[in-house]
Amino acid sequence: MAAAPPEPNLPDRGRLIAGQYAVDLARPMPGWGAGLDCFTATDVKSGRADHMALLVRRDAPLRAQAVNSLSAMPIEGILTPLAHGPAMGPGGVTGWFVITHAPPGAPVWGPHAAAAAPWHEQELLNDVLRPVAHALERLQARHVTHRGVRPANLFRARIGEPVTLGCAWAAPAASLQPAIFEPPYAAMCLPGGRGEGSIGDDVYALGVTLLVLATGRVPLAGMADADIIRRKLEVGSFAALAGDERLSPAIGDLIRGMLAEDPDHRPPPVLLADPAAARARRVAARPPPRAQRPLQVGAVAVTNLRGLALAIAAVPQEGVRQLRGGAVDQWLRRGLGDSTTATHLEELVRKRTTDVAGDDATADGLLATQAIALLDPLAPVCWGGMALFPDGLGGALAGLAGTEGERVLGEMVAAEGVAAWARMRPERCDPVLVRAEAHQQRQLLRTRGCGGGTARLRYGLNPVLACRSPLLDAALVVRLADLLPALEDAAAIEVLREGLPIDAEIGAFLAARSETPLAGELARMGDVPTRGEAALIALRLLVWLQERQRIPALRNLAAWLGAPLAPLLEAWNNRPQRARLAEALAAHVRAGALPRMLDLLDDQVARERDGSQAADAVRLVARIDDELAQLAQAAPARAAMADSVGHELVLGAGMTALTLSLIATLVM
Amino acid sequence: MARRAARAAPGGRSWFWAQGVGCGLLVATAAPLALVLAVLFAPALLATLVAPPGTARRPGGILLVYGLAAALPWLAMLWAGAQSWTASLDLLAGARLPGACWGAQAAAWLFGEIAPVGARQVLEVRVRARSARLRDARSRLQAEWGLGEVE
Repeated sequence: MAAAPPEPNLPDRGRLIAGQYAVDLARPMPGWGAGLDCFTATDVKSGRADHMALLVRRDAPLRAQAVNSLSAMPIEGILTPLAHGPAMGPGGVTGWFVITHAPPGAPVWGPHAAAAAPWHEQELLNDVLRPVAHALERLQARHVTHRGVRPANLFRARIGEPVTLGCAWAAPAASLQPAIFEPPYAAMCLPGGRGEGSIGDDVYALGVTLLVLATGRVPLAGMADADIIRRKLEVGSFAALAGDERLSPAIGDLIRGMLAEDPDHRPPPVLLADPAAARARRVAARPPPRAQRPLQVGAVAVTNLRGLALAIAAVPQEGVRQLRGGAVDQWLRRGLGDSTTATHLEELVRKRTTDVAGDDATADGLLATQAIALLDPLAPVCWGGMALFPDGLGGALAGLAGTEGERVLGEMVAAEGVAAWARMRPERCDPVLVRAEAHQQRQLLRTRGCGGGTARLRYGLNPVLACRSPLLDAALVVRLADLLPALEDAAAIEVLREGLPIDAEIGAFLAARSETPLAGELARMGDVPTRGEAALIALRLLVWLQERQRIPALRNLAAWLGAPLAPLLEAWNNRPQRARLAEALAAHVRAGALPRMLDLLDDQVARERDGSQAADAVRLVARIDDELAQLAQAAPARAAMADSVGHELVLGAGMTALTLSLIATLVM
Repeated sequence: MARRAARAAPGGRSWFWAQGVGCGLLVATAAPLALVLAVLFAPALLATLVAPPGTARRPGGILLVYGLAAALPWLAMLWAGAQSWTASLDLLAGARLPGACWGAQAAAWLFGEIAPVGARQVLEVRVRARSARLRDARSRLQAEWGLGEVE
């Protein structure tokens, strides 16, 4: 009989992504991940190793909605996600990966590129513009944006082949895009706060990509991002990037249209598939008015409205001072001749002055936000020197977690700054929806205890964001099911056991990930007077988790909670019962039986019974004392009674003797 | 003294008058018997006269009962016989009747002193046992429920 073939050396199914893909850390693909680390991946079902695994950064979660939509139905011409999940990453630390097909070849830009020489016009049109336009058209039909179009994210097998657009969903939208490839209103945002944007933003990025490939170099190289943005706002994107370049008329016209400031003026992808038609459609936009004399805002001299908006966004305190002082109003009327905008701004300033509700900092912040939106219709929400779009709040919070920036964003949410922005620009969003979301986010922020705050928002807006509690050590906890095993492993580390197993980050993570409302319990954790009661609430939450996952025993966690829970037994009045419970608790801790520990400590019926029995005992002792006092006080009465009884006895005996004597006398 | 006791008790004057009338009748109709009774029950009469006012049970009554029990056969014989002075004096001269009667009255007095003491001891023993049980119960409750010492 022939010997059975050897079993393939496949990783444990539990270490595979979606039970199918294995990441080969020994075969990295540096420079192929468009800013992310990536490795070769193998489909263990088919045995094919032509896949790529992109490592998601912990503070920059993937675009969950887009990934789930695209993985269900891939799109030709794009490295769409096939699956995502946890796997062992570099350094022995678990990471979250997005799996795509491997690119057909190296990126067209970067150290792996075949050449950095300018591309020919036909090459640009046939190999880049048309295939990418088709890909963007398909994305548009699925209501998904790419937000990662740039030369380093284009791949092709060889010269003459059409490019394949790389994956852009393993990080927040446009978070890895250099400022040069983004319109000014997106480039000025926090990297994680750029939001999903529109397909017009992808067209813009494609225009800059064509320019880079056409010239063989990146324009404005070495210039700081803030300077790039300012230059684009001053002279327009096309003039800033391609002003001095020699481009063919066809390419120049196409790029000019694609770099239109207003996204509605850019040609849609369907039109770009026919470059001739796209060239013919050119929306002539009026150049923005410029003032002869600039207005100094901070260190920046501005000459137009959008530049002024950018300057106020960068230094809001200085901007508000100038707004309230009238310098802006004067400059608008005299320098720009724009009395309409000046009147609207005046109204905002007047409203700020008369509206006495709230503190000054919040009122100034709202004034700045609304003034910027008024001055620049395309501007994002600006607050405290930061900018973001409403749907980029989750990515922004993830990127700023634990920093001062997160606190500032929290102030913005508390003031409903996004709603104030939406009121100024209803044409750029659904103001009713945005206001409702802003109000809901404010409610979440204001939730008491460790189930609220900016952390609660952060996890609520990012369904695939890992919990960043220090109690979890380096464990990757993205799903609720990951939490207990990670805590159980972390509980073995003595130094982590100083507090309780549920801190503010874990509490916020629990509140965000669970369907059952836990906010009440989490809020009570901070209100209870003793550590023991807080530990009991933590135990209740952990048991709730354990019952959902059916994990049999958690010995390390039980040992962690055993010490802070023990003082709760002091509340039992009955000493023998207290000793029995302590013994039982110790046994349950050794067995890791969290539900039994909870049953023992949270038995309200038994506690009430103990309490009522203790009250009975007090009353009984009082009655005993009363009776003892009565016995002591009744001594004289007892003596009198004893005398009386004694005399009665003697008299009785005498009467008996007399009777017998009488009978004897009568008989005789 | 007897008059004061009779005045103090409600209806006491009537009883005292009745006693007086009874004694008078006895002396008038049966003087020898009255002499014998007077001699034999002199201790009871004395105990009645010297009893402190307010005494619950008059010790004289108890002595009287015991004395009567001891002397009844002889008194019956005297009553059934001649009831002469000679018979009365013979009875009194002899040692048996006075000895028995006075002895019984002495025993009554002794019993009357001892019995209350005994009864008091019995009651005290019961009270002490009860107190001990109560204290044990309180100690157990204090130990079981962690109650503080109660004065």
